[in-house]
Amino acid sequence: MFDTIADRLITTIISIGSLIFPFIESIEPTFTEVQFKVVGNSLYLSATLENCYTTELDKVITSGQSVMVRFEAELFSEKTKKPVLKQEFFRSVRYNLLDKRYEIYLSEKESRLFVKDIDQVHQNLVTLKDVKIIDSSNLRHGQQYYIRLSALLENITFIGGGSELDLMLFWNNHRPIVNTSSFNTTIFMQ
Amino acid sequence: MKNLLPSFRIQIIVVFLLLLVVSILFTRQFFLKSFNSFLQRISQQDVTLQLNRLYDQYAHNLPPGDSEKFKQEIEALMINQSRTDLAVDLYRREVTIYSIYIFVFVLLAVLIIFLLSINLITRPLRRLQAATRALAAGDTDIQVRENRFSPINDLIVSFNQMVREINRQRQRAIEAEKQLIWKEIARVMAHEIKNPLTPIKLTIERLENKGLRKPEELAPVLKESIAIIKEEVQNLQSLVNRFREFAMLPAASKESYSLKDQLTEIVRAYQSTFNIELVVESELPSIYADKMQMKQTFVNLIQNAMQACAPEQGKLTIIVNPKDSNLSIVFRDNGSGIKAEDMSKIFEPYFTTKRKGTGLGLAVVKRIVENHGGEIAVASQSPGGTTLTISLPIISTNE
Repeated sequence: MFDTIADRLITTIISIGSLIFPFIESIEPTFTEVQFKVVGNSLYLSATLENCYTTELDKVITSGQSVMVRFEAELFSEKTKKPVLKQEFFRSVRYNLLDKRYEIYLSEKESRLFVKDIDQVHQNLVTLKDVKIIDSSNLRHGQQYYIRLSALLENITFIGGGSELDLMLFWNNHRPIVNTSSFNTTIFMQ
Repeated sequence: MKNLLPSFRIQIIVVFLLLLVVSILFTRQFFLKSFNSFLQRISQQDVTLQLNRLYDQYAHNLPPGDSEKFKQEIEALMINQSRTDLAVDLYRREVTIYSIYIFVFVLLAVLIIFLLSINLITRPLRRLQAATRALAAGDTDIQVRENRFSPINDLIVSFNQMVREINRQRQRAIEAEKQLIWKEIARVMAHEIKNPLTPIKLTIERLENKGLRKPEELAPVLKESIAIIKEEVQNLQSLVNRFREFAMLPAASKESYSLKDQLTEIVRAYQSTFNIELVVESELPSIYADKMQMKQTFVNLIQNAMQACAPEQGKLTIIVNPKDSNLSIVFRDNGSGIKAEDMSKIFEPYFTTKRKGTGLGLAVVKRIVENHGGEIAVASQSPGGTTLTISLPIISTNE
């Protein structure tokens, strides 16, 4: 009885306290302006996530566990404000504790990078360069569209295997989102 | 001297909070220190370094297939250790921060409970204090709100009972006083009525005797007897009028007039039989008062002075002068004075030291002066004379 009441009370106190003063140092990352590039019938996108690393997050990265940043690019109709198409890709980093190097995987290009320095990890993990998003066949003639780009950190397995650490706590549970300017099929004619 | 310290209540709260904060901080510090010391001992076991050495030592000596498997196993162990280190680090942070949450919560909770408790005691005490002041100021209907959760509710209940009892006693005292007054009035009235009735009765008996026994001598006695009866009836009527005046003093009909002229006129009427000196400043402002009631007041005081003084050596000095916003009228005689023990009673109704007095003269004077917003004071020496000072506010007709 007392245990239950004490547990609930402490949980409530911690929940309220966390709202006011979180125990993890958190930041709110933002995207730079999205750049378009048209090659043939395909639209490529470039952008960088800024202000997205903390000392704590670096510790997680260097712990040897795989840390994954998932990106979502959604094509929205300007008229209906509803998504028409969704493209997902991710970047992951894993530190090899024996070889003392980072292995970065870029899912959109299905390629791997090996770097020694955490600064290179910072750069390569969140810099999107010419990522193919849509083809001209995905767009209807005469309609306006825009792309919404967002990112999130996947949870990692904690000790014991069963529990997980929500890495979004480092981003203050805030998912960075950026909307591009609107465009239509004429973008492929330029 | 001004008290530089805050109230006792604030002092208690500050001391209590200081003690609470210090005790919680000490407790928190103790547990955090123990916890960090424990974590430090764990982290001293540098498993990652040992695994690295193990790998360097044996990996190159194993066949190629086993070497890769060995590497994977070692790496898995290192990741696991790394996870543990990370978890410990986060846990340390959690404990540190959560202990602050709990500290703040406990502090606020205790503070709120403490303030409520203090309030439960001090609020009724403040009400009780205010009620005591009100009671001292004469409000015998005052009651303090009872609250059965208050620790001093018994005291409040007792106070309320005490006030009710005081009220009952006061009512009884008023009733008793009223009865006493009525008895006194009856006694004075009986005495005063008896005095004229006796000569009336004797005169009628004399007339009866003469009429029945010597009718021829009735005529010369009749005139004298009628005069006596008339005079005594007149006395009775005068007595009744004085009582009526005291009981039903009419509302003052105020007007602006010259006090100097009024006093000069009154004094002139008495100066042939008594030595009266009137000292009045030439620039005396008009007063706004009931002319008739003022005349009654001054005549009463002059007659009192005349009765208190010896006929030949007696002297009354009346001095009138303005003083600030008041007009001071002083009646100073060189008569027999008032005994010290009688000084507090002279304005009480029916109190008299005269053989034929009703004891209403000075009581009426006091009522008239007070009805005009003024005051009357007495100073006397027995023997040596009496000084009565009337102070009346100078009010213009516009006010």
